[in-house]
Amino acid sequence: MIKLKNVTKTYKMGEEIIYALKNVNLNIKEGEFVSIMGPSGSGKSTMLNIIGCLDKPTEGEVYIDNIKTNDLDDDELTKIRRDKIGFVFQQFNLIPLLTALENVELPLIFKYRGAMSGEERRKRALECLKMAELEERFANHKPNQLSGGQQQRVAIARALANNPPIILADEPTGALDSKTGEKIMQLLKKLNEEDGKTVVVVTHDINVARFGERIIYLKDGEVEREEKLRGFDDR
Amino acid sequence: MGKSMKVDDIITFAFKNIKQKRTQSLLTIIGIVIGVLAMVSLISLGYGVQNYIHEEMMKMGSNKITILPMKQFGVPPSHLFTKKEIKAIKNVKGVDTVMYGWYGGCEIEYNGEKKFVSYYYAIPSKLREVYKDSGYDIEEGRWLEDNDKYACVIGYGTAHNLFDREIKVGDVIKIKDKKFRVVGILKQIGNQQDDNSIILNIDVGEKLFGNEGKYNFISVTVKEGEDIEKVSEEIKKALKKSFGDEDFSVLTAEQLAKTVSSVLGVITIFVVGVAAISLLVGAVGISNTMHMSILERRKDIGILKALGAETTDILAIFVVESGFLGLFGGIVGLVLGILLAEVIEALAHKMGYLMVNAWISWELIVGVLIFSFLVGVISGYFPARSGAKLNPIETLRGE
Repeated sequence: MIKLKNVTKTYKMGEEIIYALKNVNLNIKEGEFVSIMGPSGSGKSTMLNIIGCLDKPTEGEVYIDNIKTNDLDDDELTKIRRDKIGFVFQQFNLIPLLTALENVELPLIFKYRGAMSGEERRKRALECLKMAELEERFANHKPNQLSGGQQQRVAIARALANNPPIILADEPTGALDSKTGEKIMQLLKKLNEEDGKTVVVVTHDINVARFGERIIYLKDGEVEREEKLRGFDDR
Repeated sequence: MGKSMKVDDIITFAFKNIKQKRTQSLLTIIGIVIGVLAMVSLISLGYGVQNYIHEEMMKMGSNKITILPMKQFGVPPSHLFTKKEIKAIKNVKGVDTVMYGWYGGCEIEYNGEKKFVSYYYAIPSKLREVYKDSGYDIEEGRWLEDNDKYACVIGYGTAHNLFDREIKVGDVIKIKDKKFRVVGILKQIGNQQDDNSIILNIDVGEKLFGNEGKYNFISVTVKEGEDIEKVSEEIKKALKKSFGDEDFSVLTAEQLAKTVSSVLGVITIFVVGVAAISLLVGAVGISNTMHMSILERRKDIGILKALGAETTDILAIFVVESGFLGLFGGIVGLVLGILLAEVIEALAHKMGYLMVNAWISWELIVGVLIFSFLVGVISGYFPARSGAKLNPIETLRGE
């Protein structure tokens, strides 16, 4: 489902070249739950951005669903983001102007445009909020009227709106207390196990990482090691 | 690709953004409001005056020709008409009545006060014949007769507005120390030049003002069934021979109306051009607001892009937003502009200037609204485009 081949990402700092990623090889199967762990500056967010088609590698090849994304233009990358990937961010990144329901409807607007009626959109958005375990009475609340955990549930619901096969979560619990964070991770695990979503979580917290089936450790832009916690056969 | 976002989704999003920054939006559109207000009121009044004058000129009759001893308005005549020209015009086929005389300005005295008025003298019976059904009607008293000597007819303004005490029929006024009895008062015409006027018999007028045998205007009526343009051309030929040169104008009512209208048209265009500068300032204001707004919402743009919004989607949201700012400013400016024009019209009419009118039509309203929407769209387009092209990584990283 997700494949990185010899991926290198560099930035220039004056005369110096900084390696965010160096010769990374990674293969994530469909339906897998993978954690990417490392300290700040290890390149894990860069990796997630590259997987998510928000960024491009300096060298190497990136495949999503056997599509080589290096060769795609902006519109094509946008299409992949819209159809195949749902993002969950540390700071939730909801549009503050819109209600919870409206935030969840956004990906549907961009994907279906005129083809999906307002009623259908609303129905789908409510389904997603339910899947994300947010009570329906909060659907018309603005983000600033919701707790952190609730906002993150809205963000997850939004990520699910277009039913993408891949969920990419960048420090999804970083802004939450540990108890709430654990509930969010339980939700992601459930989406992985019950709905078959391929989940990739970036984190610096080992307790969060352990929700995955395997942990990939990054250090200085390189894969340091890999730890397998469970396999498909363990379910 | 291909299909764009549904229009009402774009509009909904744009409106939410505008509402979110209500104060900022209001301040932004002030420039547009002022520009549109000025343009609307000035166009309305400018066209109103033009239309009024055109109607008044046409009211003077489609069978009338005015002849002046100068080529262009405002240039003093090099020489004047004489009996020779009068005779030549009378001999033109198709000419019915020929009325000639003098038009000028003078001071009159009444009740111890002196005021400046315009005066006409001509043969009274021909004056009446040429100007019947032209708005020059008697309100009170009677018209001048050909055998009147020291009698006059005065305009509405002369009688009712000029002096502390109103002049009545039968009262005596002084012109150049000669006493004249008022025998008639005209109905209000609606412009000060005609309303603040006095009309005399040609015999006494010529002697009084020292222009015997000279005339600075000739008015002609054309016989029924004759082609007025053809008669006009024949008069030109006859005058060319008699006058010795072409320093004269032969004007039908239509030409007269066009001439005056075009002068006013130029003035209107100039004044509206000045008002358009306010609109330009308003457009820059919108651009500035959109630029700041987009900087503030870089994060939102990044989010939308991550969710699968295309560059054109984001561009559409911002352009519609700025278009609505322009449109809203246009609506407010339009309403205020019309109100201002109406107020000015009312004040002018109260002061006796009936020619000042507010011209309001659907073309003006729709034209202004489309124009201000376009101003908003154009001024918002460039900041919107730069916003839409933001790299989502850079915007999301800044959380």
